Amino acid sequence: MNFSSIIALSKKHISAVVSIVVILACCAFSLLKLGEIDVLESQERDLSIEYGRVMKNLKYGNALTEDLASIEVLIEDAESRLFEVKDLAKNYDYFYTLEAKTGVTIAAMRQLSPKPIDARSRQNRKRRKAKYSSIGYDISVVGTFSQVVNFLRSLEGGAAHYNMGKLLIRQGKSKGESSQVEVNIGINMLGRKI
Amino acid sequence: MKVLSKKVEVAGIGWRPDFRDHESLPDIKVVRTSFFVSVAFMAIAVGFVAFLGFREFQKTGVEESISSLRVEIDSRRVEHTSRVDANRAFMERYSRIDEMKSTRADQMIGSDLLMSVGESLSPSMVLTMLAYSNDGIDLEGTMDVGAKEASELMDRYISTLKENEADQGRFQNYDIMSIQREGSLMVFKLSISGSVESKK
Repeated sequence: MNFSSIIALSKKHISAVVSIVVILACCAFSLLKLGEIDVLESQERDLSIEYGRVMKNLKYGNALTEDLASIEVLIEDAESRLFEVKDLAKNYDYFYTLEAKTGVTIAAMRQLSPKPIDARSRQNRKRRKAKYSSIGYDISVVGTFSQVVNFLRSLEGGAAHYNMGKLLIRQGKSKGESSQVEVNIGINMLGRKI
Repeated sequence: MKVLSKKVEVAGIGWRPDFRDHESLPDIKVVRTSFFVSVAFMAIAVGFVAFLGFREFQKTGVEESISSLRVEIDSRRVEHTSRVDANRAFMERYSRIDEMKSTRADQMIGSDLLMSVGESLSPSMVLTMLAYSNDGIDLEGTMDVGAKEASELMDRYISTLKENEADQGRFQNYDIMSIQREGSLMVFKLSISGSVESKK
């Protein structure tokens, strides 16, 4: 079969030849555009997800400005009641005020120095992330049972953020003060991070 | 059409064709095979073109949808960013409040512990020492009773402590460490330990 016979055959079946050319052109076009629509569809999917997220954030974020303002007020109030590690006099004054209010006698009081942070420990990693620090105190108090209970209640319900770690109560040693009790309290007060 | 165009040789002297000789029969096909082949190719070509047209139409629709989504998102971008920033700020402040709350939360209320331990005592009992730490509570005291009644009194004291929830639901083991005579009094040591959380 030579070229002229192919031409002759083509002329004879012109519609079939044109169809084959169209089919081949379509195949080439398809190959060129292969995957294009998938990419567009995936883009559309991503955008519609983003649009949904935007709409949801806008819907639920309606009252955020008011919420933010009210939480700012709360934070301001709560932070005004934090201890400052370096402000020893003010910190001690907090306890002495409670002493005067409840009638106990603070026999000894010591602010503990913050423990150094070991980055390897999980607890300390948490401490690093914390916004506030915990300031430890060892306080020895002498008073009657009811005075001591009142002192503890004042600590628990006081302005400062308090957490009791340990508590030791013994009967007063002096014979004349048999109704007195000696209390040793280990507490942590929430303070500003250094 | 080439109907009857082939020259037919009449075999012999017979006046009718021999139907067993296919070559000698005239070409009487109304539609030729090449017509079907052409139609089939044309159908496939039309199908391809229609398919591609549909895909292009689909693509245009998707492109329009993408551009409209982009416009929608862009028109809300500024407001959205400000709300996301506000939310981030809110969450940061909320974590501060949470940290403050967690400092106060889940702690032994010392005054309640003292009150319930004191209220649970029988008139003949006196508490001389109470020690609380995260590991447990140790109690020491005296009982002005005979040795025989001392253990019964201790059992009653333990059940009253449990009833009054003196440990505030923190511990589970109540162990009498010792009951011994000291002069006319019986001295007891009681240990409350075994964190409920650690068992969980």
